[in-house]
Amino acid sequence: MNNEQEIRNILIKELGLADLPEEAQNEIVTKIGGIILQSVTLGILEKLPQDAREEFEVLSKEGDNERIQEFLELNVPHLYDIMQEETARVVESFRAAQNKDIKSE
Amino acid sequence: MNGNFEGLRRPAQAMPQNTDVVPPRPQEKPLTEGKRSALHSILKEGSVPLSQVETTIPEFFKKAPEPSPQPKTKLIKVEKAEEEIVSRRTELEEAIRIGAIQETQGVRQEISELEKEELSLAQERARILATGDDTETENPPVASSLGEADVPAPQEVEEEGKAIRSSYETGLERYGLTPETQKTTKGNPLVSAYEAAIRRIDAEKAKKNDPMTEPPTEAPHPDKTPELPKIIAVKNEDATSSAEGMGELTKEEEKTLEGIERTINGLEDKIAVENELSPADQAEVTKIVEQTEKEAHEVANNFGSGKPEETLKQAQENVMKLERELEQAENTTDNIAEKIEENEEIIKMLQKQVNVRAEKSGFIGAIRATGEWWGKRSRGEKISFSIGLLLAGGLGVLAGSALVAGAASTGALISRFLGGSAFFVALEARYAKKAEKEGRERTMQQFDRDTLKALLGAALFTGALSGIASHAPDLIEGAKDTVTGFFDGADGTPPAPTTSTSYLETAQQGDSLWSLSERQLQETYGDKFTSLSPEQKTHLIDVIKDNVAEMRPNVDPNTLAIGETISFDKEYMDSQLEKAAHLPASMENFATAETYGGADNPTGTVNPFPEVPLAPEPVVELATPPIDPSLANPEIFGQADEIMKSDMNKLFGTEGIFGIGAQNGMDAISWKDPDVGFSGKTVGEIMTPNPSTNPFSGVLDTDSNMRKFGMESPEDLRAMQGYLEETMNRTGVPLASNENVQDYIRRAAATLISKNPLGQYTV
Repeated sequence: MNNEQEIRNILIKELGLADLPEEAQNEIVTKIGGIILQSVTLGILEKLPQDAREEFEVLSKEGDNERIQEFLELNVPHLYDIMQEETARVVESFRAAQNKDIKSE
Repeated sequence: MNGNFEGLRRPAQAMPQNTDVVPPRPQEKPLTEGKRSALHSILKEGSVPLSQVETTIPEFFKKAPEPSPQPKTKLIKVEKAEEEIVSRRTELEEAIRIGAIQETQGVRQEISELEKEELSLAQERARILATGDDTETENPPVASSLGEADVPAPQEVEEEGKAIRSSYETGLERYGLTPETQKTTKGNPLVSAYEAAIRRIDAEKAKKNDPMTEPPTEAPHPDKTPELPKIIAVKNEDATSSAEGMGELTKEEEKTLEGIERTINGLEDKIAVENELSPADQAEVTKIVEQTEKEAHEVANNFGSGKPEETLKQAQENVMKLERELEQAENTTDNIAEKIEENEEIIKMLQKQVNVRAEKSGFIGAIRATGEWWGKRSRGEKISFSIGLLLAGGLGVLAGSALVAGAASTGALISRFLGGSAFFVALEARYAKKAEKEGRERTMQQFDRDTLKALLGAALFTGALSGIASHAPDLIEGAKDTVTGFFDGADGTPPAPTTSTSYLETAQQGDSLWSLSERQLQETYGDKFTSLSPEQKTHLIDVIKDNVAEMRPNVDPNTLAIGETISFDKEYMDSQLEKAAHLPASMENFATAETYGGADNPTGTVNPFPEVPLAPEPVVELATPPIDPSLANPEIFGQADEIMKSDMNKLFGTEGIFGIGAQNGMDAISWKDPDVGFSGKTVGEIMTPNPSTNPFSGVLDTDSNMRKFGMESPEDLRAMQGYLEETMNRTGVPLASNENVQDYIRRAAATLISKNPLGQYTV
């Protein structure tokens, strides 16, 4: 088994999805991924100072990804903390809700 | 036994049961002439249909008398005498021809005598053959059975007036035979004895060459009648079935005849075999036939033509086994479906949380744009990045501990997993290069952090954030007064006032139309709303709620489904806010029995737009409540208690997320706490809180984030006041200032039950 497959299997098991068909596993995982992405985006935007939003709007319209990244790193304090915490929040919520479901069964 | 199984028997071991399976004889034996003749007759007469010939023939032969066997002694003697005479005569003639002897008169006489004897013997032989009478008799028949005209009579030779004995008689006597007395028609000799003998010999030769062919016709003799064919014809063993009058067989008839011959021979074989079988052999044949039939039966069962008990039992067991397996498969499928559904519900809940938060902060458009961007990614990208994100979100530690020790690093796992992602590699390389430039070596923690940055950067900075402005017009304008999100507590800054342009509210756990209306008013108008007096706010909330309820008649105002989105009419809210601000600020001079219902207005219709300020009347009409006889009924009292419990649960209870943190409303601090809880307060205390005992004003300007409950919480207080007003409106039971709030609620509920004992109760 290669590394990717091994990591994936462990992750699926941790998420309590091991009994499901692979198709369903992928579906759920990608939905969680989408929610994480939205949460991280929201967290960043919420922390973006008012006076920086107009410039961010301009940058985002231009689509210069590297400049967007640099801009956010400069203007959003603790940018990567936000990212990590937002991600962790979604994962924890998902697992907590799942554990509750399992206990109530 | 089932006749259908006959064909399944072993043909090699069982006797043929019908003529269809008569095996061809390896070597056909010809029918006897008699049988053949009889068949010929049947065919020509057409009395038996061809299809029945095969069954008719055996019967025919069974009945047909077989000729009785007779010793053929006389015929042999006659034929032997004939041979000797012919031999002698031939010798004499040959001797004359070669000149060995003189052809004297005596020699000629002897030859003549021999010829006569030869003729006589030939006639006798013909008679024997024709009649079948081969027995030697002392007195032979006077006449041939063939008739006078048929047999040439020996000529009598008169010599010197005496009857001369014929050479025929002499010859017979010489050989110990008694000649028949032949009656000869005078003056009408048919043939000479010699000619007759010669013809006979020729005929015999011809017959030997081809028994079915007529002997060669003699040379025409105008005065002679052909006899020999008849002689040959009557040589049949079954002379009784004469073929006289029959025509020749056609080819078709010959073919049929051959088939019949085969059938007859097959039947004869069968009879022969059956007759020859010993009892043991017959038993063996029977056993083989039965075994074959049994096997055939089993074979037939496999094709469903019969269901013997054992086979049926086995089949039933197989069906039950299959049913059990099917049931297990269905259960497994149900379990999987249930699990998928549960996970889908969790994801929905998470998505709603994000949406609600985005709506509050004014970034709903940007978040939707991000979702759309994500949805357009390829399936492979989504799976890879999602797993990477999950690893980064905490599962990486768990996954790492399950892997080799060296991989117990989130960054290492993500790097492994997303090693093939070009942008991820580029970003990660960038961080590595940056560290190198700075002359530092990345620690594992830094590596993990860089990996996470690269991972999220791969998603966010390659498109998720770029272009969201075009999809999110509210990014700049709508989020001007955004809340600070989940991390507000970190820097200790108080929540900023919010505004909203969406005018939408999404129901969460325990939300009602009242709570949503209040939330919307607070979010839309901020201070304009919160600065209103409790009475004004309650009135405004109620009006807005009614407006929504009118637009959404199918929505239960008391219990909204989680995720239910309610749209509010901004224009209507503006106008009602303006009017509410002009209403009396306190209960004492605001509420009336008319506006809050009561006995005269049981429906509790509120007139929210009084053109003229109402005359101030106390909201609490009664200091003490009247005695309600319905409370004496324990059953009604119990039901009333349940209603109160249910309503307090809606007001102050929580169900948590999927049940986590669920709390019954009666157990909530806001209800049961002896100091600030409502349960120990009077209606008056709740509806007109005393500033000296109510920290309401202090809450508004507090800089503390500590959660307040019950009388200390403006939110809880407004909710309780609104509930009591609504109760009065619905039940028509006026508020009594000195009455304990629980007693009032029970009394109002009991009144409602008494009026409508079969109704659905909710206050």
